[in-house]
Amino acid sequence: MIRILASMMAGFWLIALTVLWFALGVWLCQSAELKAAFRSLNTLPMLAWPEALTATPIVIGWILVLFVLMAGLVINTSLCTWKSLWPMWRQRRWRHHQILLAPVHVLTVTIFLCHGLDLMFLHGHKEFRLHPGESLTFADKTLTLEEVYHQGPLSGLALDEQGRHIQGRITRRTVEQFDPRLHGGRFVITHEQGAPEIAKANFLNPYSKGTFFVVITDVFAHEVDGQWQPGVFFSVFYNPLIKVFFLFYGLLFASLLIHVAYRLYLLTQHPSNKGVLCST
Amino acid sequence: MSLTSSTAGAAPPFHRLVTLIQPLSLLSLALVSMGLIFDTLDGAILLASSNKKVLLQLAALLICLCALVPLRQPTLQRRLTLGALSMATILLIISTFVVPHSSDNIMLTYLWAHLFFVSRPLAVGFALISAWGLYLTATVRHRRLQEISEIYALLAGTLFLGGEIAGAWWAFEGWGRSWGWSDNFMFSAMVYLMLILAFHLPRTVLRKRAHHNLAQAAVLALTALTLVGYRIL
Repeated sequence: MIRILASMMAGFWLIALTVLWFALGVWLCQSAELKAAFRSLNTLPMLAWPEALTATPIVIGWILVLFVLMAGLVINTSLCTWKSLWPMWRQRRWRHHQILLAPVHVLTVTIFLCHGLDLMFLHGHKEFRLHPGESLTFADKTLTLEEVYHQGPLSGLALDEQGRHIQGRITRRTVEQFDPRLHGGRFVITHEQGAPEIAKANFLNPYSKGTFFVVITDVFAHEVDGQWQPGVFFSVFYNPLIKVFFLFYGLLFASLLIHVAYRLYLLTQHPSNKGVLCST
Repeated sequence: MSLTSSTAGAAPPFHRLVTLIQPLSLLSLALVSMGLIFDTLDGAILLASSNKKVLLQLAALLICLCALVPLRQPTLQRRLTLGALSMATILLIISTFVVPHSSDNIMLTYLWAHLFFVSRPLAVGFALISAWGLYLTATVRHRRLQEISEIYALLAGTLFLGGEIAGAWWAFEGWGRSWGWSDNFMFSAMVYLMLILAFHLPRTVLRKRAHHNLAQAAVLALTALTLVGYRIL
C-alpha cells in the first residue's frame, strides 16, 4: 500500500485529478449562486460552513472531494520525499542534479499544511465600516476612527442603493478616481494595558504591529442631511501565521530558483552538451 | 530520421545564409514586440501594466529570446527558430485583436500587482518554447535542447509560482486575505498544478523518451493555451 502511495504513478493521478477538480470548480463558479456560496466561506470559520452551504450541497461535495485529493497529495509527496529524495541527502550526493528536489517537496507539503491550518483556525474574517469619531472593540483593543483621507469631492466616493461604490470595483478604478496612496484612515488604538497608539492605514498599505493588522478595503461617503460624510471599510484581525506562510512560500521560490540555476550550471559543464546528435 | 548529414563537413552556402538570417529574424521580431509594448504603453515602464495586449506581446518577445540559444546543429536550430517565429507571430496577431485599456489603473501604483501580472506572460512564453523544444527532441535526440527545454519548463513553473506569491501578498495587503474561495484562486491552483504535472509524468507508462517528451510537451502547451485563453484574453 505504502509503495503504491509513494509512487510517481499515484502522484500523477492525484495531480491530474486535482487539476480536473479545480477546473470543475472554475466551471461551477460560472453560476452566480454557487460563486456566492464559495465567497461566503471567506468570512466564515470552517465549523460554520455546513450550515452556510445547506442550500448548495454541490459546493460541500466539491470541497470534501478536494480535501480528500489534497490529503492524498500530502501523503504521496511526503512518502515520495522520504523514499526517493531524502536518500540523496543521506548519502551526501551534493552534485546530483535532483539534490534540491527534496527541499522543494518538503516546502510544498509544509505550505499545504499551512493552508490547512489557515482554513481551520484563521480563514474566517470580519469586515467593518466606521465614520470619523466612531469606535469598535476587537479582542483586547478599541479602535476609534479619527480621520478619513481622501482626494477630490466626497460625492465621488458615494455608494449606490445596493451599497456598491459608484466608481465600481476597486481594482478597476483609475488613479484619477481613487489614488490608493491618498485614500485611507487614521485610527486611535487603545489597549486594556498601555498607552493609546496612532495607526495610519491606506488601501494596499495596512497598519501592522506584530500579528495585529488593520487593512483598509475601501473609502466611501454618504449623504446625511445634505452633508457628505466620509467613512472606511476595513478588516481588523490577528494573523500569527501570515509571516511564516510567506516565509515558506519565499523559501520554495528560492529553492526552485537555485534548482534552475544549478541545472543551468550543469548544462554548461557537461562535455556531452555540445549538440550531440543521433538518429532515433 | 537522420540529421547526421547536416553536421558532416562544411554546410552549404544556402544553409549558412539561412543560419545567419534566422537569429536576425528572431531579433527583429523581438525588437518589433518590444516596440509594440512601448507603443501600447505610451512610454510607460514595461512592468507597469495589467494590459492584456502588452502581456501577449511580452510572451512573444520572450519566445523569440529563448529561441536564440545556440544548439550547434543547424537543422534543429532552424526548426526551433521556425517554431518560435510561428508562435510569437500568432501571439502578436492575437494581441492586435485586444483593445488596450487605460494604463491609469490604480493597481499600477503597486509593485506586487506588477509582479503578479508580468509573471503570467513569462510563464506562457517559457511553457510554449519548452513544449516546442520537447516536441523536437521527441523525434531527434539532442541532449542540449532536451535539457534547455526542461529548464524552460522549470522556469515557467517557478515564475508562475513567483507571480502567485506576489498576488497572494497583494491580496493580503489589499483585502487582509492571502487567498479566498473564488474562481481566480481555483484557476491559479489549476494552472500551477498543470505545470507541476508536466514533471510528474509516470516513466513506468511512458517508457520511451519520445513518448515522455511528447506527453510533457502536450501538458505544457495545454497549460500555456489555458493561460492565454482564459486569463490573458
